[in-house]
Amino acid sequence: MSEYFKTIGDGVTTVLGGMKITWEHMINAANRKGTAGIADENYFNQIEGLATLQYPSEVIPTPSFARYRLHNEADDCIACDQCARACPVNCITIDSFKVTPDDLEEAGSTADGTKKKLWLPVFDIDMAKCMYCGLCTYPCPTECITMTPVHDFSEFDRSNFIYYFGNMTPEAEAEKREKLAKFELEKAAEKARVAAAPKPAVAASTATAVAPAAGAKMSPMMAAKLAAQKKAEGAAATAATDEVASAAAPQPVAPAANQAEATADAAKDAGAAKPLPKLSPMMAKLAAAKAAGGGAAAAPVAKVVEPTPSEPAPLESVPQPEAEKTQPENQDDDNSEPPAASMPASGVSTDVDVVTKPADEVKPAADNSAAKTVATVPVTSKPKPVTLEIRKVEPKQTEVKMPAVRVPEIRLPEIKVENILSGVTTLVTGALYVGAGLAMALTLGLFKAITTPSEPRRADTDPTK
Amino acid sequence: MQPSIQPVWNKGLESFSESLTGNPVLGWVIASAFPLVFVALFALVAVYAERKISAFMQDRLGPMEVGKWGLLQTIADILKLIQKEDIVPKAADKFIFVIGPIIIFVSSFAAYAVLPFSSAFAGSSLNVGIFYAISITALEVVGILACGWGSNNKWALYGAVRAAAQIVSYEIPAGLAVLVGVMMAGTLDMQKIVMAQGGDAGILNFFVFQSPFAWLAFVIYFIASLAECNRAPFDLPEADSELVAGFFTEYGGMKFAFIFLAEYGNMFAVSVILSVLFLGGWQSPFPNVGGVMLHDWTSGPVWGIGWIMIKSLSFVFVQIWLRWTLPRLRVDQLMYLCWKVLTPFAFVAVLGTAVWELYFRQSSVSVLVCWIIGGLAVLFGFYKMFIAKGETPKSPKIIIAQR
Repeated sequence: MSEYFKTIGDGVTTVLGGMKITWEHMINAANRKGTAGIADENYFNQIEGLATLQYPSEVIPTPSFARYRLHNEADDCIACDQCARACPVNCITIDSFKVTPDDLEEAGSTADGTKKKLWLPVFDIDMAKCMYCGLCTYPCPTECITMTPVHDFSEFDRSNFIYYFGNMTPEAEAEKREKLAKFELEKAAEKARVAAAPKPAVAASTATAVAPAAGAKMSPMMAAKLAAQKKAEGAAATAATDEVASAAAPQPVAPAANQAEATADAAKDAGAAKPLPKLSPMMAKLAAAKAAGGGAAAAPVAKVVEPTPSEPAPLESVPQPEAEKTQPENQDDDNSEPPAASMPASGVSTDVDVVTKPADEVKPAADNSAAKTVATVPVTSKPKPVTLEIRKVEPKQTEVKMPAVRVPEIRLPEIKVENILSGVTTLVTGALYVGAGLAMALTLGLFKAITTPSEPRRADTDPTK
Repeated sequence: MQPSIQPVWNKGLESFSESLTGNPVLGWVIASAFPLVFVALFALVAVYAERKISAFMQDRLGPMEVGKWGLLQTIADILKLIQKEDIVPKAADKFIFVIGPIIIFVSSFAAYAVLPFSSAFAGSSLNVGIFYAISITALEVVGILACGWGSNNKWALYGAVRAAAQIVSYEIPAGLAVLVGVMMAGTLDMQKIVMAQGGDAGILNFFVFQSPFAWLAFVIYFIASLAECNRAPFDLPEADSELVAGFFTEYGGMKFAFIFLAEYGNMFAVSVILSVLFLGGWQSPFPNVGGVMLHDWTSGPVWGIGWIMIKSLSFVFVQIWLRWTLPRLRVDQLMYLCWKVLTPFAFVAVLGTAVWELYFRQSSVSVLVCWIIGGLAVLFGFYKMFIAKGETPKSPKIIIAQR
């Protein structure tokens, strides 16, 4: 029996205790839990008050070192391509072409005063591929590519994750490309005239010198890289470079390439696999070494491969595109130095020196073994006829997405005839229900009318007295 | 039939409702429309309050998006329910399926016919008012059984069978507890029960303060009424975590809305019955002290509405409070509580009240003793709830600090 009452007593006290707890929580609802983060000493003491964070309108501040959505300040970008090279997942796509000397003023300079020497029609970042490592932000010489605190930018369509930071309209791009092509043509013509007229004797040697130089320029890894880039970007950038190259030295490249093909065949005959254009730089290099090893002249070829300019590229993220693109000028141009060399970052410019030097050193060695060096030049590096290929750019590609927090979409229900009909029927049903309630009350009224005694009822009648 | 209705509300007891119900049909419609509109509005507010209070008790915010502080949330819910397709499952027994919510709502709403909302308003001044209210509310179980059986769904059937067992069982302690109030008033007429608790002493005239057994009956009726409304911790018929939604699993749209409306209507109805039986209904709690006629100043038809609303809504709050405090009882615990605890104590309360009414109530000394006992009970409750250090783990602060 005492157990029975004890159970009841326990029941009463525990119910009251539970009510006390919920009551305290309800009273504490006037407060919010603190915002101290996990690193804060006070973190575990924030136990009283509401825990809810109304997310889209309230957010916990992200730490200053947080790495979220990328942003590129296109006005400060010099299109040096270092971020694209640093990216481990290739989520950055950059297309650029040279600014003609008369447009340098128009191209302007970045916020830190660096002169811009490349137009930037395409700077796409695919945030669906991005792994948020932030490696692209470190090499940036002008600090234009940054990781922002914006982390909530989910999309229904994956293609919406490609952010376009290029800052040229398609019209402007076409105009500038045309201008550049004209400029290169004029320059090539001028050079040919200069080379032909004053020193006809030296012309031949110059031509031969240029030939291996062009061959060296199209060294295996570079060519493979170019091919890969071409495959990825749709041939636009490479076409421009090729055109520049062929415009600069139209005659000598052709024999060099032919020679390259011939030696490539020879290498194939020797039992080595011919590197495909798809191969990555390292693979191309390995394949080239293998080809050389398989061939007769194993040792010298390997040595020649070693100092090729593009070799350190995959390891040190050297600004190779500049070297590639400006090499035709490097050989025989004097009025515009490569933009990479004019970069403010000192480390970068020394890198360029390092890169450009071996290219020159290859020249003397070209006579005996450059032919084998270029054995892996892919077919795609064949010279093309000088034509203007204007890249079609979709208008939406030029618009820059602002990293603003998006207001969640409100989806209204579709209005359908069936829905309206069912709504009407339910309303009628509801009216019937209400009617049933009223009918019940009415019957009550009748009931009351029958049963109520007839004597008057007054407020001051006290039934207890 | 009189063509015109001239409501009067200041001409004595039930003058307002009499002036309405004296006019057949039209007056009856108007008189019954008052509680109907009230129940609908009350359900809107109570659902919002329930969601907010539960949120605060769980350190959440509750609805915040629709309107300021989510005030329009229930209106949006109702608009959604109205628009929803009226689905009757293929396998359901259609007639029973449709009639179920009607029976539930009507039986819940019909109790409002006798509830005295003010000295000037009671839908029907039945001389068997409280008896009618109890019995018509118990009719709800028929509707619940119809819902569960007609749905042709095992969850619904389980819920309905549980509801039948639960409601029928808890009718007994509830009825006995009601009997205590009826014995003290000497009448079944709810209006007269309220009037029996009036007087210069104000709150001390309420039945809970007139007899120590009234306290017992008061608590027993409150617990039993929770079970009759299928409210937590007695929400076995719904039992979201076991039975999906219990007897209304298959219901949607307006049918669901009516079941819901009935539940909230029932909550308020039992709260009114509780306050009428034991807390003086529409009587003012203030006493007349000397020349300060506080009781008289705060009495009247309009004051009465205010008083009964305050009392009933505070019970509704306690119902919500309990729902978000206590876990659901097991079926055997439910039956243990009903048959082995509440029913014996209800018999004790009835017998004790009989003795008290016969021999002690007339003596002021015994009433004084009763007040002291009642006051001590209140103090004990407050102590347990707000002052006592419970054995429950207080806060993670201490545990963390020890590590």
